[in-house]
This record gives sequence, structure tokens and C-alpha cells, in this order.
Amino acid sequence: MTAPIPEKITAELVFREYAPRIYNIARRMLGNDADAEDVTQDVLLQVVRKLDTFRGESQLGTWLHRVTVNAALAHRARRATRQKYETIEPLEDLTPADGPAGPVKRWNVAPDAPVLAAEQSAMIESAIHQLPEPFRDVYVLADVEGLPNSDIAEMLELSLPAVKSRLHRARLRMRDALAPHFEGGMPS
Amino acid sequence: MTCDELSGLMSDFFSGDLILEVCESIRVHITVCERCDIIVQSVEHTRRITRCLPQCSLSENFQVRLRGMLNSLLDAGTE
Repeated sequence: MTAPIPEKITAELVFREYAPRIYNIARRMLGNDADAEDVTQDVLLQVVRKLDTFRGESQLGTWLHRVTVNAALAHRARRATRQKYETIEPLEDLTPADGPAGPVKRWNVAPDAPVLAAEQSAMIESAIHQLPEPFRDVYVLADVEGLPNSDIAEMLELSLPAVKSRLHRARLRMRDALAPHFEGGMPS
Repeated sequence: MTCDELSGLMSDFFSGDLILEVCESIRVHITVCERCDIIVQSVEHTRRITRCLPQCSLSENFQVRLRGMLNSLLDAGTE
């Protein structure tokens, strides 16, 4: 069932309901506060202009993701024209990535749902930030936001195999980045 | 199933896009291949903890700015 959008649209309602959702995606895709704030502001403008055209929360949610991703990509493209391009490894090779190069150790983690301490959250955020942008985009949308691969492919204008390949590589890089903190030691 | 084959299927495995027989082949492989077992488990844990990340917090200054912008926009719209 689709939740309705409130008829009385107030600044506080728009702020509370939509700003955090937009900011989260933008912050993690772009990696810094200033750019995420610019994108959030741009997208909220669009939200206010279009809010009365949506039939329900579900339709709005999909649109909000798409517009935020587009705004973040456009912002990054503008920024890239002012800065030297980040050097990234070729991504067109869609063959499956190899796993970790060296020996791997079993992680010492509790089987139940994890509760993250602030330090662990910061560690994960930092690992996400270290991912090359094309991997980071897919990882944020899939594993942070929980979007289906098909939606991500559409938003990023990629083929489904490309999304899967990038996601797999991103997950392996995240795993490798976090491994030193979870191998051996106390369960977390 | 080989380690390379498993690696190529891991994304679909986590998305739940594989048929039962293939999932079973993966489970059989990881019972005999400790390295793949460790990688699958650790990637799964990486996904789980990523999903538990708290929301990024908006700075106080930015909240004030945004509320001001929204108030102006919506006030202008109702005039």
C-alpha cells in the first residue's frame, strides 16, 4: 500500500521528511559536506516544486533517489571540470574480480545483528570514501541504500552486468579495508 | 564449482538472484573450501554492518539555512 503525501506541505515537513534522505546519499557519493549540502539544496528545491504531482510516498521515494543521484553526478562532473581527474583503474573489464590476493583469516564477529560503535561507523564511512567513485556510487546505492541492481543500472545508466561487476569489486575492496579490524580479536 | 566460478556468482548470490541448485553448489563449495567460506562470510558481514550505518548528520548551520530557504519558497508559493 502506498502511503499518502500530506496535503498541507510545510517547510518543516519537507525538511524533516526529505532533507536527511537526500543528504545521506549525496554525502556518501560525494564524500564531503559542502558538496552534499549543495546537492541537498538543489534537490529540495525540486521537491518543493514537484511534491504535489506525486500520487504517493513510494512513487516519490523512487523519484527522490533518481533526482539525488543525478544531481550528485552532475555536481561531481562540474567539480571535475575544475579539478584534475581522479586517476582510477579501468572499469570496463567486466570479468569477475579476483578475491583478496594474500591469505585470508576468519573474521571474529558475532552472528546476531551488529550494533555499531561510533568508531566502527567512522571506519566503515572511511572505507566507503576510499572507494573509487564508480565503485562507491554502486556500493552506496546497493549496500547502504538497499536499492535493487536494476534500479541502480537505470540511475547510473549502466548495464546490469556492469552494476554487478562494480558492486562485487566494491564489496571485495570494502572487505579488504575492514579485514584488519575483524580478523582475530574480540567479536564485534 | 570452482573458486573463480563462485567469485563470479557472488553478487547474484547476495542479491538472491540465483536458482536454488546454484545456491546449493555454492554451499557445497564453501564447506570444502575454507578460503571461499571466509570470503563469503566476511563479505556478508561487511554488507550487514554497512546496512547498520547511522544517518549522516546535517550541520546546525546547514539546517538553519535549509529551513530558511524552504520557508521562503513555501511562503512565496502561498502568496
